[in-house]
Amino acid sequence: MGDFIQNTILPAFMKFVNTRGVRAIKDGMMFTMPLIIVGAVYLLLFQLPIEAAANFITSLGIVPFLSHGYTSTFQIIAMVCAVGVGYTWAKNEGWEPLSAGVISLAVFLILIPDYIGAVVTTADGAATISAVDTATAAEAAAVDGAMATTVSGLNKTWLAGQGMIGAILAGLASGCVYSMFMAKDIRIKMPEGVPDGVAAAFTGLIPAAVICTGAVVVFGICEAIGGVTPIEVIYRFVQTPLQGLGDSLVGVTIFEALIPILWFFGVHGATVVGSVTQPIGLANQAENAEIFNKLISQGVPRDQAVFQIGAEGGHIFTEAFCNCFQAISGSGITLGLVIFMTFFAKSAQLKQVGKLGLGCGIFNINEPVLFGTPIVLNPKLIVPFVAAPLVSNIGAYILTDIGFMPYTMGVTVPWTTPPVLSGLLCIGWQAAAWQLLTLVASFFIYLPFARSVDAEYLALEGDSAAA
Amino acid sequence: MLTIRLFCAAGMSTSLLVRKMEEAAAAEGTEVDIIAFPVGEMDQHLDGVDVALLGPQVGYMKAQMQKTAAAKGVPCDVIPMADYGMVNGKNVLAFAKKLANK
Repeated sequence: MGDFIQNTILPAFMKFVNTRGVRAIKDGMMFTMPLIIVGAVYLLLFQLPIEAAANFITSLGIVPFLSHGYTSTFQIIAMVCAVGVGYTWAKNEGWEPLSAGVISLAVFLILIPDYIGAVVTTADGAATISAVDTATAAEAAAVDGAMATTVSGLNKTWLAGQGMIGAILAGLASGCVYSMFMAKDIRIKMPEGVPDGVAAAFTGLIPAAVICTGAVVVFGICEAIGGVTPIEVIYRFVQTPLQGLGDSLVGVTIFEALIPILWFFGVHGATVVGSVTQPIGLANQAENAEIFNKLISQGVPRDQAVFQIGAEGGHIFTEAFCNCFQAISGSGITLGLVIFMTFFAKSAQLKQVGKLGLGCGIFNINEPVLFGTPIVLNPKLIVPFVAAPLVSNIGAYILTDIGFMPYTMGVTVPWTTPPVLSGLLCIGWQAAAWQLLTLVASFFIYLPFARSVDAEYLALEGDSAAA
Repeated sequence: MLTIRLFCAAGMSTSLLVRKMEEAAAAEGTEVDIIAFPVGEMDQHLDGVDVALLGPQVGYMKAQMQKTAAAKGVPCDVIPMADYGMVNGKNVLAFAKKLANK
């Protein structure tokens, strides 16, 4: 059974994970991280949970500036994602990558509407500005005697959460086609003696012309046939179903169980599962942030707004949710095991691993524990190793669903942030309390299993000492 | 001087091993230059390197990474799980030396 999985299932799985597309998505999305974290800090600053502090920031008059900073960092992550994915694809193939990134950006912008709304002038001469999507604009214009003029501009609706999957597709398509052109050496070649910098400027010309024209054609077809932009089609038929996967307890359970199961076979589970869940988590997170910001601007108090995000179409499963509950103290939530090994284990091996694991466990790293105990390929510890993260995630999901724990509202921290602190920063005291409870529970979840492993090692060590 | 590069998922868990290997090298009087990187950046960190080691958690990429390393004439293999887990700097250093001499 183990052999079958190791020799048949895993290689097939790994083939998928190591395909050019998945690698480009995984590494390309990393470019959004600095913007998300910086943007979240701005968001946090102008929505401080403490009233006195919030009033102080307001009295300084810097809220509009912070808000501008937030929308121009966090709320453009789809755009950055397009650049990152196209760039990474070309880079992995060994071609000049920035041109591919720039083409991806243009393709993404071609896919989204080039207007932000419409001025509708009714028959009696009154003008109203409305409609950010094509259908509503057409509807408004259809009113008797009304005139609709579109207002052009960069439509921010699509630059973050809602445009995420479209951006990834733009990056993949551009990266792929660009690399094909490079591989076939279809590019404008400069005669010898032309400086490299000048020649490089022309490298992307032919692929840019072909790829961008392709995107314009797609835009034209969508507009002509359905009166919609391509991004709206992608959002409705690709992104929404994908996000639905993370929006159910079953989906979250499957994702969270897969991570320790892959680790059991010695594969870095979080990296592998993350290649699928991270685009969803990031899109969800950006949408939550938009909803939160909208609620606040409608005058909803902050401490109510964080609970109302779900009712407004927000999501429980976000990047911040993963960072808070998925792998605190490391995959499999091994802190309980580490504490047992350090302070209660009798065998020399477990004591040693415990000491090694304690320091890095605080920062959610636990490779010494996984390979030293070992947990990898050790059937004796697989049960608590899968159970502990499920308890953490299912519990957090339910606590959010029943309205005890606030939704994540955009703030996120690097995954190496120690637990309890991460919960407090991303969500609130409720999350910190649940993290603490989970860590304590992990001790008891691992205890019976760890004891039997300890006794076994002790007997072995006794044997070799006596021999 | 033995130049060793370690590669794992993010280059973080391996940095603990780097320190232990440096200690082991100092104890036996070997001059070493050891740095850990994420496996995704492997191709950029192979110039002038004697041996490239992979963390067992990225062992599934062994075939692909050995090809990358072989292109630059660098021997590459996966660190034994037990030595990696116990952060046994001495054993991993010996493992690296053996690979490099091949």
